[in-house]
This record gives sequence, C-alpha cells and structure tokens, in this order.
Amino acid sequence: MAVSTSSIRFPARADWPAQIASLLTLTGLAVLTLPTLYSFATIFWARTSDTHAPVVLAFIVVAFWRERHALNWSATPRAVACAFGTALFGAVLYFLGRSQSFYQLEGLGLIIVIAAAILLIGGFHGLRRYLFPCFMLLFVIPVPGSIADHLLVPLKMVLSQAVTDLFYALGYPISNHGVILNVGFYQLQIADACAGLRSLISLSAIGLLFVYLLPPSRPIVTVLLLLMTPLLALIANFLRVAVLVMITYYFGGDVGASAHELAALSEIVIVLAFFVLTRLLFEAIFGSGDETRRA
Amino acid sequence: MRRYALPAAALFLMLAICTAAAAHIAMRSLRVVGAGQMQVLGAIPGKVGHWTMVPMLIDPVQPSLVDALGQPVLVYDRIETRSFRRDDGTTIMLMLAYRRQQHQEDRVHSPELCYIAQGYVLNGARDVPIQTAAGPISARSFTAEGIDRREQVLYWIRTGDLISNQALNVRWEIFSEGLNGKLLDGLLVRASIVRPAGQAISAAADEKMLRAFLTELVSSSPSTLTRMLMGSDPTAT
Repeated sequence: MAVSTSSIRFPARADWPAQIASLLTLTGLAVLTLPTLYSFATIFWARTSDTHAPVVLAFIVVAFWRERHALNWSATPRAVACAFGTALFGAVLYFLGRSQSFYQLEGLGLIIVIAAAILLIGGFHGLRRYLFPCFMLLFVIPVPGSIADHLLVPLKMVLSQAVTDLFYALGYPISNHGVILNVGFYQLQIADACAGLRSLISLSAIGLLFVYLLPPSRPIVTVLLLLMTPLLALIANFLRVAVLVMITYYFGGDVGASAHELAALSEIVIVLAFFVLTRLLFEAIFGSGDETRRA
Repeated sequence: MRRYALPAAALFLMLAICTAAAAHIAMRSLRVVGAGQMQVLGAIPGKVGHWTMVPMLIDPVQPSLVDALGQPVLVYDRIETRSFRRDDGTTIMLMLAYRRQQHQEDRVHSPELCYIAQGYVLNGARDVPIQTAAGPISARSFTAEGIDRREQVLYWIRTGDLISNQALNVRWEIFSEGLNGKLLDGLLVRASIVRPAGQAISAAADEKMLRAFLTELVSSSPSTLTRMLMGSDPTAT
C-alpha cells in the first residue's frame, strides 16, 4: 500500500501559521463540543447503561484521524465563504438547542459547525472525504425520550415474551406479565436499559463504522455485513436479557441487579466478536480476494 | 493559498466563543412561569358531585418511570392522591402530579409508560374529549390489565396553557415559549377505577363514570385549582 509522504504530516512542519490556525479552529470546536458532550454524558449516557455512544464516538474519532491529510488549509475562496455561511447556520441551531435544553437540535447544530470547520480547512475536497464520518456523528445524538419510549414498548413486550418462552421451554420456572418477569423467587423487569433501543442504534453504527474502517475486498461481503448488523444487535440484546435472567435465577435478585452494568459492557464485546467472526465466515465463503485488495 | 488560514481561524474561534456565551446567557435568563402555587393542589374539594372523599385503601400505580437498574424514578415536585366513593360503592382514585419546570427531555410523561413499567398490559387507548364548565379538554383513556385487577384510566396533561398528550405539540409549546424566555410548569391529572379481575362492569361504563367525575371536579374546584388543572383562561390574552 503506497502512502505519499507529503500527506503524513498535518500540516507541513515549517508552516507555523497554518499550525496555529489549526489550533485556533480546534479550540473553537472544543468551546462548543465539550459542554455538549458533558450534557449528553450526564443526562443521557450516565443515566441509562444501554447506550454505547461513547464507543461509537471513539470509532468516529479514528475515522476522522484517518482522513486528516485532507486538512491542509487548501480551501478555495468559494469554499471559505460557504464554510462561514454554514458555520453561522450551525451556530444558530446550536444556540437555539443549547439555550432551550433541546439536545437534539444542539447536537445537529454542532455537527453542522464541525462540517463547516472541515470545509474551511480542507475545502470541498476535504468535506467530501469527511462526509461519511460526519454523517455517523448523527448516531451519537441521543434519541429523544418520547420517541424512544413509544418504540421501546412493543420491543420490550416482544423481548419479555420471547425470553419467557425460551426459558419455560428449557424447564425453568418463569412467567411474565407485561414487562415484568417472575423467575424462581425473584422478579426481573425489562427496563428501558434491557431492551436497548439506544444500544441497537449504537451497535448498528459501530457495524457501519467497522465496515468503513476495514472495508472487505469483496462487495458482497460488505452488503451481507451491513444487512447482518441490525440482526446481530438484536441477538446480542436478547442474549443480554437471557444472561441476566440466568444470573437472577441462580444467584439472586441483588446479584442480578448489579450485573446490569456488566451486561452492558459485555454486550459490546460480544457484538464486536460477532462482527469479526461473521466477517471471517463470509470471507471464507466468498473468498478474500487478496489479489484485488484496494489500497 | 494558506494565507487565509490565520484570519479565518481567528474568525471561526470568535464565532464559536460568541455562540457558546450567548447560549449560556440565554439559558440562564429563562423565567419560570407557573399557573399558580403548588400548594393549591391540596385544595381538592371533599365532595365532587355524587362522590365523597374517603381514605385511600388501594395502592395507586406510582407515576414513575424506571431507570437502568429497574429502580423507580419519581420526577414530580408534588403529588396529591385522593380516593372518592359513590353510594353504590364504586371508588375513583384521583392523582395530580405536578412539575414546576417542563423541559424537552425532562417533563410530565404519559401514564401509559408508568403502567407498562409496572407490569400492566394496556389496550383500548384512545383520545377522549371532555367538555367542562371552564372549557374543552383533550383527555386520553386506556385499560390496564394487571395480574389480578383491571384499571380504567382517564387522564390529561397540561403544559403551560396547553392541554395535549402529543409529544410533538408539547415539545413545540415548550420550545416556542422558551424562545419568549418562559419555562412552563406541567400537571398530570389522572383518574382511575380499579376493579378485581373478572368483574362484569364494562370498561366503557367505567370510562363514562370517569368523564363525569372529572367534569364535576373542574366545576366544584375553587378557581385557583381550576387554573392549575386547566391553565389560564383561554379567552384571556
């Protein structure tokens, strides 16, 4: 794989005005991003353990880092004008969202401002390279509670019934009424965290980023992986609840309650393992096509 | 080509700082606008039409959601519950749950979610308009099936001066009033009849009784309480 040496440094070593300019721009982004991340973290990510948004963010940062050689202050005057227009628009949305505690609007405004910064530094060429990572930032914006609640209800009901049916068939003393499971002597609740709508979204995003960062060489493998992603996320979710039921049955309600956090963490490890294994499987079936590998 | 870098970056940084500062100032300058003092909620009349207040004998379903660990999270600043009984023995449970500040993500939520979280199975959810002496109310009713009981619920949610259960309407109201600098309060008015499983009386009959009760409640309440229940007089500016 050939890499042009001029694209490794960001920007050129002796070019200190450009370096300072990049630092200033980064500071501007930090002034807007850090308070937003703090709000998201305290209000959404800490309260429910079912979102893997921080992991999605980490993957996106990797994607951003990979394209950094496009950010070499090479924008045309037209691109600069567009950048400031876009930045202004994003700033207004950010202002409205943040002042009204309307987090989705704030997040959207922030993403637009980030895109504007990329346009300012990298021109239209740079923006094109960053289009997909910027789009993935949308997955980091927390789903509005009211939408999540209404979508979660049928999901929780189905999950509750499925888990009950499975364990009953295996001979366990389990029954359910709505989202409350009675297993052995204990009661377990399919809370919002268990039927993770938010985690389904995060896991799907991670699946997309996985395919983007390590593209398979056969298009059919890409397509299959993308189709499998939501399915794998659902299966991981189901397994998470099933494991919690088992722990509650064998070790009691207290242990089960504290296992919620562990379950959330292990879910992401399981899903990543799923992705890797599925991809290896598909590549074994369809061939990895080493001789046609893209640079 | 790189000559524009420093001035452009400086301008960008200034824009970012101004935006962050403006958002912070705007957020701090919001004023809380309530429909009255919280204590007013305690002034529920002891007699509403044919219904007389009696001591609570049944546990009402808590107006709480559950957090990640399945623990209930109560989000209200004041909750009042009362029990009313009629001559034929039918008992209605009334709950008023009040929030001093309604935000986009943190606000009065529909009781359907609470009932589901506490293990009930819901059906028959529908919108029910109520005509009261003080104006129309768009309420909502549903039937909650528990393990050994059936509960017919009729409720409405007030946000500022708007009575609506539609998330989009409520969010828009909070947003537009917020642009005027106002933070709205919110109230859940919930009335329900609990029956042991298998009783003959139909859900529709229970819903009719609940409608009549809530209409009477608005008529029998002092004006301060009515303003709390329904918001300011819609004919006033």
